[in-house]
Amino acid sequence: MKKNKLIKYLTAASVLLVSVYFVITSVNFLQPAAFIDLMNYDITFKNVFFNFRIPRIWTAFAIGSALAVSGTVFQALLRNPLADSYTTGVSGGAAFGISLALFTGGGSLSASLYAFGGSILSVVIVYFIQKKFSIFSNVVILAGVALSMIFSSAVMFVYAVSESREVHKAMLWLMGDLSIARYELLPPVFIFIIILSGVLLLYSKHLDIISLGKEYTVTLGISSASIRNIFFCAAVLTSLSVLLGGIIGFIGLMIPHLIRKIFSPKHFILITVSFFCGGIFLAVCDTAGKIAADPFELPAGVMTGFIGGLFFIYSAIRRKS
Amino acid sequence: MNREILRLKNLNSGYADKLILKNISFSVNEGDFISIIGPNGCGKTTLLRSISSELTPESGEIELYGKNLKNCTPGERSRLISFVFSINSKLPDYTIEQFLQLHTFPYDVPFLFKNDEKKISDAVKICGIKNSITSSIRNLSSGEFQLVQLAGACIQNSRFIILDEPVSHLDPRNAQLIMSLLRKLNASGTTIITVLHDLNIALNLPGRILGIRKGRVYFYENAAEIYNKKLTDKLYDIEFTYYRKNNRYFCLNSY
Amino acid sequence: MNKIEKIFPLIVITAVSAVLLFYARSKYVLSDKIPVISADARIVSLSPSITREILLLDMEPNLAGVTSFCPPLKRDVPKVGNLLNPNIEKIAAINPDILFFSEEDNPSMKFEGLLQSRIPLYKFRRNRTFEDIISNFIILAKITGKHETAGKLLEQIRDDRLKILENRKKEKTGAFFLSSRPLISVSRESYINNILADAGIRNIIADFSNPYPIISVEFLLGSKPEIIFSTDPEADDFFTEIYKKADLKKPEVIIMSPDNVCYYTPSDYIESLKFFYGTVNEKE
Repeated sequence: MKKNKLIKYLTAASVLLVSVYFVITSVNFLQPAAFIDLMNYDITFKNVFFNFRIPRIWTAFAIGSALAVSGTVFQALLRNPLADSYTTGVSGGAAFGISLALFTGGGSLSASLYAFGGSILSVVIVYFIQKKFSIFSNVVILAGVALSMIFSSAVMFVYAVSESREVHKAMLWLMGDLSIARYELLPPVFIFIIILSGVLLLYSKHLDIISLGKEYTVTLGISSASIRNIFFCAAVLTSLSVLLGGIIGFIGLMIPHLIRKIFSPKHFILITVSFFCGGIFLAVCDTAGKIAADPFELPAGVMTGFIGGLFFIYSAIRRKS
Repeated sequence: MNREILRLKNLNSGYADKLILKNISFSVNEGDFISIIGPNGCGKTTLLRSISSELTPESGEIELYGKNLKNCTPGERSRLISFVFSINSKLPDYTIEQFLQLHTFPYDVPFLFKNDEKKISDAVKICGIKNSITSSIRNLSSGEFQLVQLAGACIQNSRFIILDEPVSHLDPRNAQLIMSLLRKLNASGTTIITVLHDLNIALNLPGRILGIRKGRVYFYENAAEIYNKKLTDKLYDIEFTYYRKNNRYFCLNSY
Repeated sequence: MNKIEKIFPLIVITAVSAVLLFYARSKYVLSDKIPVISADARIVSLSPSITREILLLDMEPNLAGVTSFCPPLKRDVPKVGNLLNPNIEKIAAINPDILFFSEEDNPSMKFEGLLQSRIPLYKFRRNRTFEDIISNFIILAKITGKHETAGKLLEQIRDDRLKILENRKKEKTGAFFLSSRPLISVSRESYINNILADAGIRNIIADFSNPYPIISVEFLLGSKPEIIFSTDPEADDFFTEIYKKADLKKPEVIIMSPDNVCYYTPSDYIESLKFFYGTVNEKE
């Protein structure tokens, strides 16, 4: 038992180190010597490294951690391992907000504001549904999925009537392309992500109880204000991630799922580890996207979709056998 | 010893558009051991869910230690009364220890992660949990899990415990284990309300028996009265064979 | 504690909105000043048309980066992604003296990222008319200092165009389609409409605010074009089919190569104009 644990942590640590190495060296990951040379002697490369690669890794980390933490929380709240921040319609709202921004013709910054507004709108709608039927009812998931569909139709409507050049702009958002991220928004948004994740960490015992089901939640005295706040923190985390880098799927679903299996179902550990793993995972995906289709950049959302989809097929097969 | 700690007055309760409990009134004194019996679907579980305030009553009042349940905060409620529900859904993969730690929640200082370890180890001892506390609650048998749940309830509040069918799916040995544990707790002052399906168990408990039929209180009597008036016949609409031996009551099906 | 818990969502929304609003001012503004570069400056062009104009100005050796879809070049120039999705990190690594970018075909979302990169860049305006194309070309000549080459070329092109405008006698109604499924057409917001007009073709789809509107088959049949141009090789089959189904006389359908008409350079303009003019006036 003890040996198993040691192996587990050693593996985790080495995966972490390899990821960090991969993310930092990026295209040069097979030639570390060349990378060191470039860093030492090529001023342009050094500038690119510090002004582009590092902020982008940071952005990816911020988005990934926000999504993983909110995914963890939504899975506990809805007690459904397939739930994530997008099952609640938050992403749909954000996409709708961005499409609306096209209509009013703002730059990408106002687009992020619209995205935030849109996701808050859907959160409010789902929240009132939740209030009416309780979070323990399947109605919440159904409403979230239905809301996503309604919003995606609204998005398509906006696309159909807007200028074709604008559509591509929004498509990049919907694909989760980190190259369009605005780095000056990163520090304040990252601070918010840390604060909200910290608040959720304070609520970790609440979440442990909530994931036991309605009976325990009621009789152990979890107040509805607490549930509302947890729901709200997770939703805002999702909107912040959308605001930074558009819509990136599967992280909120896959990372908590894995961590729960490998480490512990206790939310204190789950949230902490998900925060770091989600962040690193997205950074790796983004780097892989840059390398895979060089000189193009594959949007990170496309990469997570690929990897996440394969992962789910694999885990489904393994569970069957 | 005879303080009234739970009182229901003209309670009407149910789901969305279906009223299940009609005009329920009864009261429970401190130290009582009340069992609730009645046919399936008569509203036993609904009654418990109303008391746990999982369901909001349509009308009527529930008073807990003289205070209207409506005016209690969730925190107050959780410190006054603890529940053991029969859980069908798959629970997360917690260890017994982790599961029990969650039951100290009503007494935790908010947002400080400190568990009252002594309370937990006491409860483990009282309930006689033999499994290692680091084993997963998913790997427990029904009987073992029932014990763990009971330990949880003791941690939460050992003065007033309400149970929903604690022995329904247990073998006779485990059922005896749980019931004798409940009697032990009751003897040391715990008020217990439990839903039961086994009439022979219910009839031989020290306290009164609440019979519910079609959402109404059908009787609220002690065992001797039920035995004498054959009240359970009407409750279930079948004829039982009653007999009595060594001061114990038996009520058998006639097939 | 309870009070804080109760108003918590409000605190968060207020804080986040406040910060977002505070940062909502764009710090990067593009200056309208036309930069001037030296003869050996290294150029990255994010638009195939601008790349062609650079070739017209004999500046191929200056190209340090192009999009993956671009005119054939004599030497191997690094690719920096496609025109809709440029790889900003790659462009920064090339560290060019100037980056050319056209409002015509680069989505402005990426443009914000490019602005942040602080690479000196010039953004060419949209081309709606012949004069727009000419003035963009002159700006390019100013930036690169190739006034003479540009001047000669433009003189020739202006002459050619005037000749066509003077000799123009016939007028036909027509339409131009970039694709047949869906029917992507051009409106007066696009320079292609201007070429059609110069050639004496009255575009039936001019009245749209979108430069490349998608129109319905019904609209096309209802507006009765006499001639249809398309760069889509499958367009002929498509129009044959729909006119047969509608039981109407099929207008003349001309499939043309996308080699010139898809680029907004002065020489491509004149080549396309010659083609359209020739087709309209060839018979009789």
